[in-house]
Amino acid sequence: MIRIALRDLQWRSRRVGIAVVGASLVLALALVMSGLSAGFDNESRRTVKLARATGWVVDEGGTGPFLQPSPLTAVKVAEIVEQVGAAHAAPIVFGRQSIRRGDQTLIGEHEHVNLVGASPGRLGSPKVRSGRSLLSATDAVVDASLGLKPGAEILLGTTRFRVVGTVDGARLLAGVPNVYIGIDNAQAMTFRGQHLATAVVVDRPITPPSGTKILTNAEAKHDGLRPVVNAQKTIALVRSLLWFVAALIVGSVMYLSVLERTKDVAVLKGMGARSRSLAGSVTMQAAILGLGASILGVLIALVIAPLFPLSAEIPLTAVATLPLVSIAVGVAASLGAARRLFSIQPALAFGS
Amino acid sequence: MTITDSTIDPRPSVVAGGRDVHVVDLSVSYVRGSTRVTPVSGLTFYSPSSRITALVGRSGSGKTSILSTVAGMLKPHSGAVWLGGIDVTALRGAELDAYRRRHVGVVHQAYNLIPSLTAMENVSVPLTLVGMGRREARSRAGALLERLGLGDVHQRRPHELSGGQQQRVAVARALAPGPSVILADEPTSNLDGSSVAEVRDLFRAIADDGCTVILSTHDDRLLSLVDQTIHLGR
Repeated sequence: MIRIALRDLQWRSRRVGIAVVGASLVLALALVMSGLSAGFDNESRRTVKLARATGWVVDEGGTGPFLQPSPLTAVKVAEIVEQVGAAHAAPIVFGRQSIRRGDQTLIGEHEHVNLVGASPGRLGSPKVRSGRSLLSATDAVVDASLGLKPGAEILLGTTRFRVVGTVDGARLLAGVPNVYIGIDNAQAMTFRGQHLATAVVVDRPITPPSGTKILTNAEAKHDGLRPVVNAQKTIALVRSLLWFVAALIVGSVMYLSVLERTKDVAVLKGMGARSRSLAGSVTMQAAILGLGASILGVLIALVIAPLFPLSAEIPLTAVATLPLVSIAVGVAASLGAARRLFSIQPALAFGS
Repeated sequence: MTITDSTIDPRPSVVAGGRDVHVVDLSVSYVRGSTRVTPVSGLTFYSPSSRITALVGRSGSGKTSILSTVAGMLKPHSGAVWLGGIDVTALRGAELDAYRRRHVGVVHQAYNLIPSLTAMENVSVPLTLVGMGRREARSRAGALLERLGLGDVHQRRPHELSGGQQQRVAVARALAPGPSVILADEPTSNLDGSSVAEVRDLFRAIADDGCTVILSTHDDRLLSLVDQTIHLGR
């Protein structure tokens, strides 16, 4: 039966090829959707990780460090820092700011960035991939996606900064790059010079002062994802629909194949082939189709992912599990065809 | 109505392992649309091994229904079909599949070769179904094709063969597992004169090898060959 099934695939190679390409395109899109969703997760995780903290103290009425409507006062910040010392606690400011090159030109399509104010050399100030960390008030560390090299001049609002280092994947709010500057300038731009902070990052256990609460890194990451939660849900829905479409493609090809081969199936049953074996061969064909579509789908996804404006970070686990899931989807989709096959009577082989 | 022209002793000998086919008081009916059709009613005949029995009748007279029932592919409304000591009509499920694999070879009117397989592979299919290894099956299929004068078309697919060649491949496939009975449905309906003569000789040789041959036909050129003719009427 295996040989007959393989020969049949070979015999119908053009149709099988079209089905594989069609299903692979759909699977590639599903994979890119996974990548977009994972990209949102990853950018928030990396932004949190760059702060090198274990806890985030925020105002009790707020949701987190990034979408904080009520900042911490200087008194509260001092109270927290006093508990564990300046080496283990530092305020940060998170906001949005327009960006231009030093010559006022746009940087690619980026008009705004996430502004992260941190105290140079303390928690919250990121370790750089190239260049150096923040030292002076005019230093800026930028996400590499901006394409700026150390030495470049930028304008944040109307204030001029020099890029001294870059970090990888420091983005938030669906691909908006982060720019790290000294906290004083960040307070000046975000809070009109008031000594407020959106959070205090700590790397030691503390007791949050009254009116504040402490968030874990996971909770802080979740706060960064809050604006894209609905986007992620939409992506998950679209991804499910894409899987369904892939299943329909495989299933319809298998079903049509069985319909076309009604007489062959009847002849084989007439020769004593068990229905179960024949159904197994159809299932195997569907599994091969699913596997082929998944392999091609991965390759297509790798090619088209960089073309998306948002960062599609296709997870390795998604790539690794795609063939298995595709085979399972193919097999599930072939159940209708297998069921049809069971109903074919061998007597149909008689007659012209 | 059934009329039998026969030189065959009508007293059957039901022997376990034998190749004689005994059809006893057979009725076949099925529903077509909203009406029940009974193409075969109360048919009894005996077809011994090494003999050729022809079922003759108009379209719809039940020839194909009888072949399907003897092949174990159609359940009769009543009556029985025996092959040697096997009550074919009593078989179910895996036993019925095994019966078809081991005891029955069918040559279909339209040959019904599997289009994706070569001639050699088509003939190998029933052999692999009976559990023969691939190499042995190919060897046996090759020998059968040689015997039927198809030594040069082993690797051709059905659409690359003439009607006569397809017919012989279908016969080789039917013969491959060494069946007890060969059933042929209108075996000459799609053939020209010279091919008919070949097929006639072929079925004679199959019967001479000990097989029971039952064929349906309305081709007078074949009737001169057969040992028994069952005339089916409505």
